[in-house]
Amino acid sequence: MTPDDLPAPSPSDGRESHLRPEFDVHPPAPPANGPLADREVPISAVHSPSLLNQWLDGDASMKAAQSEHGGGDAVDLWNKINDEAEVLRSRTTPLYVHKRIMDALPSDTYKKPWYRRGVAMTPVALIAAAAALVAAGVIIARLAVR
Amino acid sequence: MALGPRVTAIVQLDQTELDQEIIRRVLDGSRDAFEILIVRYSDPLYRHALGMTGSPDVAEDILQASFIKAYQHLNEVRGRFDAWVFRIVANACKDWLKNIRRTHVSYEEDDQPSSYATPDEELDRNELRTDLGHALSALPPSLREAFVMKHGEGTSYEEKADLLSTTVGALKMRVHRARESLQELLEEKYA
Repeated sequence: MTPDDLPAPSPSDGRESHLRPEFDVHPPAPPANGPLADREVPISAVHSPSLLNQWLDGDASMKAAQSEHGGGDAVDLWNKINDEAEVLRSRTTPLYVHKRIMDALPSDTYKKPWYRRGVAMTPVALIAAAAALVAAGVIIARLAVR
Repeated sequence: MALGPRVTAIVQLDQTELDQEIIRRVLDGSRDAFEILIVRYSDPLYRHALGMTGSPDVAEDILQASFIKAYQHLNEVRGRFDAWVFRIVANACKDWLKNIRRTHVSYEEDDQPSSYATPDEELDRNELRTDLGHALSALPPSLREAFVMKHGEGTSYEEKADLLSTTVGALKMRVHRARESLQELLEEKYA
């Protein structure tokens, strides 16, 4: 009896069936539109950016983007668009706009009433206030004596 | 040399504190202090408005209206002033796009200086600028916003996601969709 005469092992007999591709057991494909098993991830739901997008994000080389189908033309187009974007990136606010905005701001939004404003005291104002207080004291004292 | 994320965070913290100090001064009645905030933040906001509307005149008007609104509601700022005022400008741009329903963008009226080598090249670039404006105006505002933020302002996804209060993944997805739409609109003529 030669090995060739032996009966072929069946998938259920447990004898090294995994070594023979014809007996590999694959999980059954889920029915169309049927529920997916817990560990399965539907491929279509995963966002895989194109090489062009990866290149524009700095995650791939230009050569890689050009190697994609129709990539050469797309890279040329995006180089032109990037040049235009560069023009926008170099723009600054015209200086007159700052003044225009300041002039247009309402003047009384955060203005405090006079009694809540702080008083700035200079030495001259301090001396004047002290003199006024002394004078008022003298007048009151004289009136009181009478 | 690029700054690490920790250093960037510290710089951002200092910036936020400085802004808060200026805001306190404005709320205390120093109207002139508000100009510091205008000078500090107007350029990126102007670029955003220009990219969204395509018109320098409209961008200036939006910037002015937004800063006046910001000034009047300054006591409502919580956290970063730049993120807060950016949202005001971004919303104003979207409102303008909704209301105006324009079919084209007037990049032609722009008087930016030419930097092209030959008249032919300048002609080609002017044509591309016009077509790009038309294509941008065909995009939904959210995609247009994402595209302008990424390509027109040149800052990172992380920073922009922070400003928009969204995730980097969601913002990337919007930018990718915007690019794909623009390419579809432009490739027949240019690719």
